[in-house]
Amino acid sequence: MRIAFALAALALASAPAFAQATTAPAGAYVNDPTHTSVEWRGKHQGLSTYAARFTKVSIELDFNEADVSKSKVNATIEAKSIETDFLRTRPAADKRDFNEELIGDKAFNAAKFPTITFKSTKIAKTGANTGTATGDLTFMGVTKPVTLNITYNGNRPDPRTQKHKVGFSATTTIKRSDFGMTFAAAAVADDIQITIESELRQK
Amino acid sequence: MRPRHFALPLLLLTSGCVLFTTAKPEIQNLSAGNYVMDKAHASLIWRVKHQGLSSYTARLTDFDVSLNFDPANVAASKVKAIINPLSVSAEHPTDKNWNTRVGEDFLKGKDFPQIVFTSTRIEKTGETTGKMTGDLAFMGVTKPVTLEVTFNGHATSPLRLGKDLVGFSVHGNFKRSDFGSDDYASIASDNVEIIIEAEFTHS
Repeated sequence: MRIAFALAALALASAPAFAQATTAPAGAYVNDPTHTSVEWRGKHQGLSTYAARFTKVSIELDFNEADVSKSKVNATIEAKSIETDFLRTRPAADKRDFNEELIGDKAFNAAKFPTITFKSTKIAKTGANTGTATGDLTFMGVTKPVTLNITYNGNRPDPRTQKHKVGFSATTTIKRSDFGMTFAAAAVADDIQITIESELRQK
Repeated sequence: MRPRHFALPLLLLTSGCVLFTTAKPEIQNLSAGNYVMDKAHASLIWRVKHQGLSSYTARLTDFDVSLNFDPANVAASKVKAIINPLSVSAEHPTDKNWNTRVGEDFLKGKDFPQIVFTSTRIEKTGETTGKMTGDLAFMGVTKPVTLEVTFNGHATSPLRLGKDLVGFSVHGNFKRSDFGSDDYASIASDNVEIIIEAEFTHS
């Protein structure tokens, strides 16, 4: 009788657990570049939001879903991987290469500052599948704390590799002047919105 | 010689003042009629959720929007967008034909070389916001889609002979299955998110 009650209680208690997704295995994950995007946007003359991205990004995650505060994330962006799509969208008469202009020493100065890095210092849960990752952002030689708002989209086993995958969305807004990035300050806003989507695979 | 020397500083002064001044004319006073999209300040991003883990994000770079703007009665404005589905811009770490494959296999761009949106109804929902319903022709099927529009602002460009500039942000979602797109349904969401930014110059 007592055992029957305990079993029934266990069955009841575990029913919601089965309905939920499984917990991702703890440990090291690396990003899948095909399913990673890092977009940045800034308002142009108050008229439109200029949208561009970085195409070469590596993210290393030490994930602990049971206690996310124990997780760590490091990301490295290649500054010269700026993609504005200007070469594909420029008017026929315009021969400029805007990617190269941005990579150059008047803007991102990728020769001097080849990488943009983020190293988390504090990860906190804010909801069932949301959290914040505060960390040190190093951009153009300046390191300042930045907080990313993160949504944990879920996890699943990858049948092909037999490894687990986890997926996240992250957003933040930085003031580029905090990092000494003042290129075209008259035309493009100081606030830059960053939108990150990434799937990461167990190492 | 004299006019030229005089004109250049005047132009610089004027552009400094007029482009970024806050003392703008009322929207109703903007020029009515046809506006041409500024391709250097326009972007079309689409996203589909991949395996529930991340939002796959790509651009279509070859598109044009014609706007017939009626500032006195915004609801009487008309918009037509023509998009080349073979102009996908995204990254893949190894597949050099990735963009072509996404355009041909996923968006069926060889069979249906244009995606066309023609507005049928525009209504104001706020001071600077509105809803734009139109016929979306995609993969051989035409169905109504409603998009959220934000009027970001306007300016007068001395560099463009005092012509009025206007800028909009557009956001919307549609179900690709409504248009017969069901490839990769097990990994790519039915919902497609669209994010458009565009500036226009009065022609």
